[in-house]
Amino acid sequence: MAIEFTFDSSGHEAYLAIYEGTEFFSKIKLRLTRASLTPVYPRYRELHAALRNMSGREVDDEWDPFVGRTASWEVSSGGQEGGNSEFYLELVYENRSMERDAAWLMTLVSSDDPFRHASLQVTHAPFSVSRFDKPRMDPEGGEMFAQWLSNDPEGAQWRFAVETVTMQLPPQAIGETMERGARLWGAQRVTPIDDTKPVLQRFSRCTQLTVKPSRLPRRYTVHPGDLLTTLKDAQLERLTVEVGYPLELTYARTERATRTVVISEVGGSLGRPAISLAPDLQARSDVPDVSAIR
Amino acid sequence: MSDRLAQWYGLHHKDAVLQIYHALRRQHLANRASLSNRLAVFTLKDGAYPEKPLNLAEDLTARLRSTKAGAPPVFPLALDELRDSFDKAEDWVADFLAPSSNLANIRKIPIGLLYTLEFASELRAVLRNPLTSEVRIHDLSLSALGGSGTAQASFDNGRTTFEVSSSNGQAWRIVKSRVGRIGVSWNRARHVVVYGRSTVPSSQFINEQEDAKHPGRPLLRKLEEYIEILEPQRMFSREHSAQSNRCGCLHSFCFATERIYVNSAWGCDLPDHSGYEIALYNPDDSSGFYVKPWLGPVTFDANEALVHHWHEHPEDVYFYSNSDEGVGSDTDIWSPKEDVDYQARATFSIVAPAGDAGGLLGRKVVPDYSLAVAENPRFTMRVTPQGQANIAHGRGDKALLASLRSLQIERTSATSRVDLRAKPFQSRDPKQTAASLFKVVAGAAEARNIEAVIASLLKDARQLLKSIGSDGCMAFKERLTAEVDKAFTEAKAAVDTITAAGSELAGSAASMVDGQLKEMQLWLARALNGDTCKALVRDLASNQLQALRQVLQQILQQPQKIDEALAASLTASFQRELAAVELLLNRLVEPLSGLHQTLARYALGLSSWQGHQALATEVHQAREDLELYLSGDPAAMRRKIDTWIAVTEKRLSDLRENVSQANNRLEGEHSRNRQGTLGAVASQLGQWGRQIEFALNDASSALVAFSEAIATVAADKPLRNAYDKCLKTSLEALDAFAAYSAAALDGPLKATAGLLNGAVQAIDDFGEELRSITLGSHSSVTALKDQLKVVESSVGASIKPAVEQLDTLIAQMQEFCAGSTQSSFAALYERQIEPLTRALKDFVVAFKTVLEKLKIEAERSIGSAGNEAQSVLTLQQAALLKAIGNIDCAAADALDAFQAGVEQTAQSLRDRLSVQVSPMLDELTQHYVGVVSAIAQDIPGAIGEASAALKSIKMLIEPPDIPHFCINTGQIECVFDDLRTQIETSPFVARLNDLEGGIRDLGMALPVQGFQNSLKMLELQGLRFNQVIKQAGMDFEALLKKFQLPSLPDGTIRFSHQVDAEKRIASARVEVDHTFTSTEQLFNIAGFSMDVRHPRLQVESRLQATEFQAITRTQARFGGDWIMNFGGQPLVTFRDANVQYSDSGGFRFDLDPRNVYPHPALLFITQAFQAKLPKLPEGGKVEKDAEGHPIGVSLTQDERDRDKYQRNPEKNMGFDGIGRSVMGWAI
Repeated sequence: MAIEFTFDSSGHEAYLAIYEGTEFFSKIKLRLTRASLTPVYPRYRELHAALRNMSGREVDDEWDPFVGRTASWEVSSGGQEGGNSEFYLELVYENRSMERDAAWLMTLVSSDDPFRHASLQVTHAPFSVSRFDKPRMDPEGGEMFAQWLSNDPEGAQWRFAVETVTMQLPPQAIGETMERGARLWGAQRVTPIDDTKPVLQRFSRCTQLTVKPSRLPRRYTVHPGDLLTTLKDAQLERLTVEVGYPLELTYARTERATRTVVISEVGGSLGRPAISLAPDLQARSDVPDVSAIR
Repeated sequence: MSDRLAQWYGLHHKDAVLQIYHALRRQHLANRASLSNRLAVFTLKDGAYPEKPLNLAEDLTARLRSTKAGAPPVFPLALDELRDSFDKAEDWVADFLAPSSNLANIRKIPIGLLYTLEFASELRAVLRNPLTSEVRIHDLSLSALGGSGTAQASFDNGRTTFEVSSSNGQAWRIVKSRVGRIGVSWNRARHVVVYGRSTVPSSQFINEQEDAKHPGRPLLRKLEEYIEILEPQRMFSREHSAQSNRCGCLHSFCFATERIYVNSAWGCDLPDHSGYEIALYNPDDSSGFYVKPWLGPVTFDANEALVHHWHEHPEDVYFYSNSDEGVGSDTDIWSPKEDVDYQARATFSIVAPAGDAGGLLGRKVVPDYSLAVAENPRFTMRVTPQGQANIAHGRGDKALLASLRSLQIERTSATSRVDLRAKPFQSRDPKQTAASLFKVVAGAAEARNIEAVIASLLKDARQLLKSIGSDGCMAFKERLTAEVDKAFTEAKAAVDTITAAGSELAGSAASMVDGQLKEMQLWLARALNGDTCKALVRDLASNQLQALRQVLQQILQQPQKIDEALAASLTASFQRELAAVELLLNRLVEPLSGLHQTLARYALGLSSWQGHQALATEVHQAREDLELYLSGDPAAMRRKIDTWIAVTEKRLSDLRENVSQANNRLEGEHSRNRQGTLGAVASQLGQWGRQIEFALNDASSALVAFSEAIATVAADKPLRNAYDKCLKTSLEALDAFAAYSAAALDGPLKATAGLLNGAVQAIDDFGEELRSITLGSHSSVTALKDQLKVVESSVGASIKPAVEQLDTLIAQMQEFCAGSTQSSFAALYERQIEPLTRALKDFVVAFKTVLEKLKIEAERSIGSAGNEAQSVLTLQQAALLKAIGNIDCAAADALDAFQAGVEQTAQSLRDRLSVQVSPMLDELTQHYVGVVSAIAQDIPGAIGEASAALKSIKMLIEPPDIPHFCINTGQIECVFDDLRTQIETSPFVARLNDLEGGIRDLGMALPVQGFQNSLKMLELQGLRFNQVIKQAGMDFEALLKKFQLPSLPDGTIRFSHQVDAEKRIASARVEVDHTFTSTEQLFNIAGFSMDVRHPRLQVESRLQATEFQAITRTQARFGGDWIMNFGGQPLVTFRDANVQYSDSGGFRFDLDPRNVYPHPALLFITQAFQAKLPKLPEGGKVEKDAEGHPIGVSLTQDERDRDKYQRNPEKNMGFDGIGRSVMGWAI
């Protein structure tokens, strides 16, 4: 998840405290007019590795999706100029023991709901279309909606106060005209299927999906904008889907559920051809002759 | 492939390896590309078992989306409309169904699971609550193209289940199943409809889908429909109700075919919409796809092994599914359904009359007195047994094996069969009806049996010959003659019974005809159905025409210049709508054509029947001609007679041909269209036709005989003798019959045909009128089309005027269709249908007289058939007796001539009587059963209501093969009398309440009469003691004359009966044991009286019939304290004194002297006379104990005396010895 910030022209604050000579604590509060959240894909390997706390090898194992349109959110300060709304990035640097365990903490704070709209994502490879609902902030998160801690026990990463992600997938069922037999054609005794035309079809409604990206109980989760990452062994909380038209199924996980349903892209359980291949033999003009070896 | 490996390969096969390597590398890259460019598929897995496919039922709900949730309206039923009896205000109708005005359009798009439903009751049950939590998903995955996996959801409390399997959003298999059970037997089952993706029509529904084969298109098609039996063995003993209800020999109901293919078209919603039912087989189906299923009851045999019985008519077995609200999917707790599980009508017991009492084990003909014709085949199953069932299983100790023919079972609460002699039938006018029913049933039974009576002669003759042997030929002939006489007497009596039954026809003709006409009126009303017609036209106005107008309004609002595209689309939409309009108009006339065809066909059938007058004239003429020739000079006339014979022969055969054709046509019409009333006419005419055919046949064969006879006569001899002998009778009969037919039948037939033709004409007229009304619409349609051309041609110009004109035309048409003015369609329709209704009403009224007349004619025809049968019997009897005279007992073919005679007699009885009379009598039986059923409603427990307990009500069995029980009926009816508690308290044979009635219910001719004779003296009520104590010192005869025993309570007499087929023994037993609490006075005269205190009566009588003999044993004892009084004071008391009777020993009076208690005042007299015992009468004897003391006096009546007594009881000497000794003592 990349975050771009546009800082306000004024109103920034800084605070610095020095204790006993060597220990100090600094807090910088940078006012923002807008920020944008965009998923980052393994193509930008360094960023990916840094932002998602992965080793290079792990990043190699990541899929390399080609995203045509990402689900990105523009987050702005909201309200009117000079209003009461708060929207700032707070940088805290703390060093209490001689440069060891120095920790950076970045906190993104917004007093308004920073997300204002849903966002569409079209991934070309593997092909998927999805529409992310406006992420719903966890009210227990207060005004802090994202945090990055350099000494995060699970590795440095942006964490968002979004427990669940809700999205929509395209209709999953297509009803089509059936041939039931002359007895049921009705009074006019004409088959409903015209051999010169495609059969008439009806689409079901869109599929609604609510997942917990992390199966661990944690309040702050990874970014809510990348379909493949979000649905990577995500715990299904609620699903409304039509498998047969117009039979609408709803799965709603309850507290006493004995089973956990997870959802993931099928690629995760498939093998795949290796990225690296031996170089083209033709390029190897130095292949020794058999006789030479002998 | 590693570099090293590549190098190594390169060293050896450089070029080839390179090529392969390059190909592999390309493939690898392509694979990688296609893998990363694949469709993203998101699979759902169980978090704990990610490697397994998901199978989830938890936390799931499902709903069928309604129009409120964005789904379009549906209408999946085959009907054109929900029936009026549905409550259309129910929510689901508005939420899901299309309004009838939009029906045609909705039907063009049969999309979605709901289109797998075909019954309105199921649709309602499912949509009443379209939410469910009974859901299961298998292996679901989501993608941008659509979901894949299988989902299953059950609605209506789990009764209807949809299972959809789809791949990338498109369903490839839809299975709808509905839980239900088999009617009566309650095997659990489900009705499954399968839709699947296929490129060819389903082989099951080829007939329905062949007009729309869409070859090669992978469409979702209805592929299969079947009933799956979930409980192939329904064990009745495991039912909840089994405790209070045992099913006797019935073990279970078994389905060998567990998947039975059916078509919903064979089923229907129940009238109250509480469910639907489908027959399991359709014998009329001609597709060849459906296989007759194997199913039927299973019974126990004598060794507790199971015997299968296969149902012969599985089309009478139904799958039933309940759709009542709040009822679950456990079919066992569904309440029994009327007409599915039981019938709300009484089961009547018809008691056959007492048979011939002559001879203990002589021949008995027990006709089948069952009401089989009035039975409902759903509950009375005809079966093919695989073995013999022990019908006494669970009822008696002894096995009684029998082959079941049919079985009546119901889930009824009826507690008794209705005896037609019951009070309600006796107390009122209907008594007459019950008597009539009885008479008709008897007639029908005799008609079925009469042939067997004669045919049994053959069997008897063979047995006789075998037992007597050729030595006693005279004896054999004598016996056989006697048998023939007896059989023919019986047959003649049977003919009388049949004729008497036929006489009921005239009496009840009017009410029968009324019933039949009511049915016909209903049929006519249904066929015409003007309301539907009017509704169709109204829909036309509000639907298609309105749609057209809307299109025009849109154009008018934007009066731009018309371009070609707009013109084309306008024309196309107009063409489409107009085509629909025209189709609708054609449909109005459709029902009329069906009606027209049926009536016209019958009219044609009847017209071909109106040649009696011609026949009569012809026959009469022929007769006169012949008379003339016969009276002339024999030599001269000979040639003319020869010619006459040839011509007449030809003519007769032509006539026969014609008659048989007309018969066949009528029969064909009847079998194609089962309109009851017309069918009745057809069957009556058919009966008549067969008679004519016989008369013609007779005449033909007589003619042949005549021509053979005259060939032997010398040329110059007169031929009158031959004529008189061979031809005269049958020619006269034919003449008379033809003349009578002409007079009696031609009129009614002509009238009927005329009536039918009149009705047909009225229908045609109406059709014409209807066409002319709709022709107005047709001309409007033409005008519309013309105007459309004007619109089209105004491309580029302003079209406003042309469109306005078009709109006006449509508005006019709309007004015509939906308006209420005098010139509107509805008004015109009413005006036109009025004459038709009147014509049909007149037709029905006129038809009534014709029908009545035909019924009366039918009665007459039965009478004449009876007369004919009588004369046939007389003739054949003489012939048979003659044949007996000629029998040479030693010859191998001794009985051939006799056999031929018997067979011929049986054949002519069948042809002339049974075949003709049976249908009429059956019709009459049904009529009477209907009438008496109405009366039976007042009898408590007679009419069945719902009960979970399975009751075996009746079984028809093949007669067991028991010697001496000559059972001349094809089948025996076993009735389970007490339906209340079944079995144990009502054993089939062992404990019949009424010996005689019970055995008659069995249809067996047991030697009841002889048995009863032997029991007669034990008849308690009215037992005359003056026959027992007679001339006993005093003349008690006069004293005891008035004394009769008080009547016994019913319960004290117990009868039992057993038939042991294996040991070939039949036995019956009667037991009486009763102690009267009263003191009975035997006599009282001038202060001297005799009382019996607490008299106790014990009787046991047994009859045992084996192959060789019949043994009767009776023992009886009448005892108590006998008290002799004088002046009101007891003089002597004889304690425990008994009169005993036994077969071997006659009567004995048993008294222990120690039990004699004289009054103290009399004691000395006793002692004084002790030494002087009176002289005992002959047969009397002083009984002494071991020490030589006299302990009593007894009198033994020897066998000769007993015979004498039985011959002349009035002069019997019975007990005088006993009486004298007693009196001597006393005094």
